[in-house]
Amino acid sequence: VVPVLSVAAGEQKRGAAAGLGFQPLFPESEARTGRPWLVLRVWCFRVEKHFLTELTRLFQKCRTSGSVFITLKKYDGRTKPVPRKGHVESFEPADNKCLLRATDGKKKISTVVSSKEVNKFQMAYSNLLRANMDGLKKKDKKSKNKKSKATQ
Amino acid sequence: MPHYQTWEEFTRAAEKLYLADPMKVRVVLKYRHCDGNLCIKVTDDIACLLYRTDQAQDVKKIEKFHSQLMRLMVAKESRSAAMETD
Repeated sequence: VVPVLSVAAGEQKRGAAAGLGFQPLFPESEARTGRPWLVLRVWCFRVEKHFLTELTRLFQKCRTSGSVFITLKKYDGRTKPVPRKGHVESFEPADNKCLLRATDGKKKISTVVSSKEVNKFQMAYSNLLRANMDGLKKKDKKSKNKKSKATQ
Repeated sequence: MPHYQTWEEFTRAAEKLYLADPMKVRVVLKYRHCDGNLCIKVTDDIACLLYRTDQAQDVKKIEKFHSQLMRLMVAKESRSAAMETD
């Protein structure tokens, strides 16, 4: 499976089922302008954004039960396994990408982040994590204060 | 599987492990809302480092470390080495 395409492929499948083809990836107003660079930029942004919305959904689904797993790994852009000995390899690893996967044990989502988009992605991603990992114990200052008052 | 008690020790060991072979290492976050705990694991399938917490103040630290690693991963090799020295 090509990880970078898996999110897009899912989107495509869903779109096809609804009889929409590849359309839902682009906002209609953007697609109508017909400027390829614009569409491409929107597409990249969409996939990335799609991952974050799906991740939020995953967190919400696991609020009552279950765990969310997020895996981060360096990714060299490889889409085929490393060939066996004696085979020539025409693959040049890229060293500026990372692969992000998330699952709740059933649903799997993934995305590839490259150095170009890391700043933008990371801001949204960090906010998302902080907003959703809110079920942990707070430092209980109040109870400590109460205790100290009680001892006084 | 060593469970680290202190965050500093964990980050130091995790960074060392990552830099030994960046392509092999993966970082896994596990979050359970119902039990209120968060676990970060760094492994290369030989060594496995774990840090577990139930304190809200650790979320920020873990998330920050996670982001730092992400930046290291997307940085070019030469740059990542430079980032480590400072």
